[in-house]
Amino acid sequence: MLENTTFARSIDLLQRNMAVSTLRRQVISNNIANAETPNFKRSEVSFEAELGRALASEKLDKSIGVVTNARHIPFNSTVDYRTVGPRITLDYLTTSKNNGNNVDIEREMMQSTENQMMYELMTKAVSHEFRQINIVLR
Amino acid sequence: MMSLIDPNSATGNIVQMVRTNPGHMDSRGQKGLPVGEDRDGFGNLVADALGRVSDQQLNADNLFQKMITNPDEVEPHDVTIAMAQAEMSLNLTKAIVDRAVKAYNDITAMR
Amino acid sequence: MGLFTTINTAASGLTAERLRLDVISDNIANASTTRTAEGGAYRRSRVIFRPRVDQPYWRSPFLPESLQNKIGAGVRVASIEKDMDSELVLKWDPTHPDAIKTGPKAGYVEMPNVNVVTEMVDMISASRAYEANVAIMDGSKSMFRKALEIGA
Repeated sequence: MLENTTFARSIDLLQRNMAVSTLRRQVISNNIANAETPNFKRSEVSFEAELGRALASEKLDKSIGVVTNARHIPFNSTVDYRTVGPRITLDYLTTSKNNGNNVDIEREMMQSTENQMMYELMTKAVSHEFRQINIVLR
Repeated sequence: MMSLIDPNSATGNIVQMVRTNPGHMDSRGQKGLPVGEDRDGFGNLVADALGRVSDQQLNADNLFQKMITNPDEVEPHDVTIAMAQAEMSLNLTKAIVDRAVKAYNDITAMR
Repeated sequence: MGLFTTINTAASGLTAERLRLDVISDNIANASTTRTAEGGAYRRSRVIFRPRVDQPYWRSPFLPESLQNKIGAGVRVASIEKDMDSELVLKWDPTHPDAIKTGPKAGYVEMPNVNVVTEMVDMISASRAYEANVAIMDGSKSMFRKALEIGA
């Protein structure tokens, strides 16, 4: 009943973001635990930029270049945001310590704090969505 | 001002126009509006609502079971969101059923 | 996956750093031991860390997909070994009971190759890493509690 509404879309976006946030926390935690391991290179997760691009592609003007043949590539095609997934990348180019390790603990701590605050903000947003509907139904 | 051309229906070099009257003809010369399902009757409303509630409750129960047997697999926010969804669907269904029954009673009591 | 894996990873970091701290304190306590059970002066120990899940340290477009980064699971201590590479320090003291009697180094005592300043610096970085892991665990607990408040 509420399938195609902005409510379902918001909840879906928030839930995906929370799952990626947990993955990112795991990667950061692995970086910190291996902060003294020789030759260890840190990893990071990238997701938000790609999701932003997918969401922005829904607003593009699709009346430019109507395709006439199935093999033509359209100018502005919509990317479904549900197909965007997180990607773990290895930062192998830098070295910050003598033993080949490149984990900077302060930076990882900063990222983990930011990650935690974003997660808590997202839980607040989800609570808000549900409360709005429950108020109407009372 | 309503747009005259329906951009989503472009195929080949043919673009359909928006038709509002069953007497209008489309590009192939046929009359009649595009047909959609009739989903707004009372019966459908209540049946839809009950179907949704059942799905959501089952989903929440599955998550509970996974959480108990293998907690590493399930995230806490998934479980709480599923619980809140199930509760909200139930609230919605209760409200719809109440109003539908009340409307039905009002209508039959008019006679 | 869940927040529990994060806590496991942080716990592995805590265990490893704690072990490293123990080894460092052992080295510092034995900084002047000239005779050990296996003969000779005390040699400093060190811990070898390895990641729990083997991860590649380089990326290339020719690397097959199956070797791409898996999500790591923390650190483990591979071994604790004696540092046989650095030289023992020689101190001149002919009246010492452990002095070398003959040869070109007669009269010298072999002292352990423990440099107290290096050990102190290692200890500082080990406790900093320990605190960072504890902060991760606290953050995960707080996130879990906030997730429970969704349904209000």
